[in-house]
Amino acid sequence: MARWKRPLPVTNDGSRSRPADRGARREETLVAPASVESLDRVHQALERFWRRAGASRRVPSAVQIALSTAVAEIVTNILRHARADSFGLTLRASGDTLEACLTDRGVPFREPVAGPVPELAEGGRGLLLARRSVSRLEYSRSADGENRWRLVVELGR
Amino acid sequence: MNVRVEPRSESTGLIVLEGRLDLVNSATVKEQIQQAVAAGLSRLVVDLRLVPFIDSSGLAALIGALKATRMAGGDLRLARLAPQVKYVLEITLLDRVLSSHGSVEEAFARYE
Repeated sequence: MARWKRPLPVTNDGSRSRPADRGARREETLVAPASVESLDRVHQALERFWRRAGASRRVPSAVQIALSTAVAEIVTNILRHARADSFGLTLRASGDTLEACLTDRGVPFREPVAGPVPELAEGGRGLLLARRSVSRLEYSRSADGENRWRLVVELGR
Repeated sequence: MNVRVEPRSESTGLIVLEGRLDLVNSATVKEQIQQAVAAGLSRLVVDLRLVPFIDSSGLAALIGALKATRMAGGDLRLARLAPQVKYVLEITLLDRVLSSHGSVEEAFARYE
């Protein structure tokens, strides 16, 4: 017996969505050139993600703000330093976890020298901002040269 | 990003920004504010009502602008912060360095 008697509703960006059910995964993916013009697309992907994930999970706006901020900082880091041609972004909501994953095939990430940022310093706050905005921020590089950033927010923590 | 500069008096001015303040435009915004300071407007209010999002480069631009006003003997205050902008200032502790106000007039009142 067919579970769905009519086609799934098509949203106005051409994707199809199912009604929310507990434990359902919501995913948004983007592959874009590593240039500043892609920032608009990153923000659009985030907005779509919050419309869907937010609707089914009631993600507090404070969490949306925090994860969007962290994603933008890592993307900016990639644009500034990775010397990559393109990057990938995946946004995923699953159970009580929100996850953003950013990948690129540029140069390995090198942590800037640690230390407090002087109050009136202009730069140096990007990674700090990202770290403080999520439950977990992880960087890894695969043997075949892919940089991977994983940003995780545990809802209800 | 749209930047509008409105002198209010001989030394005070309103800067109105519109759009995201991030990697794309932060350097330009900082330069334009520095030009306003160089033109004599050392006490500034930056109206951020139409700025929905700021990143660390945007913060850098605001800090740079603040330093320019201070070097000219003035100051820089922010007004009408969106939730994400408030968040970024708080989490970086820059809300201690960059004062913000609920309205443009409230910010200018501090210059009297």
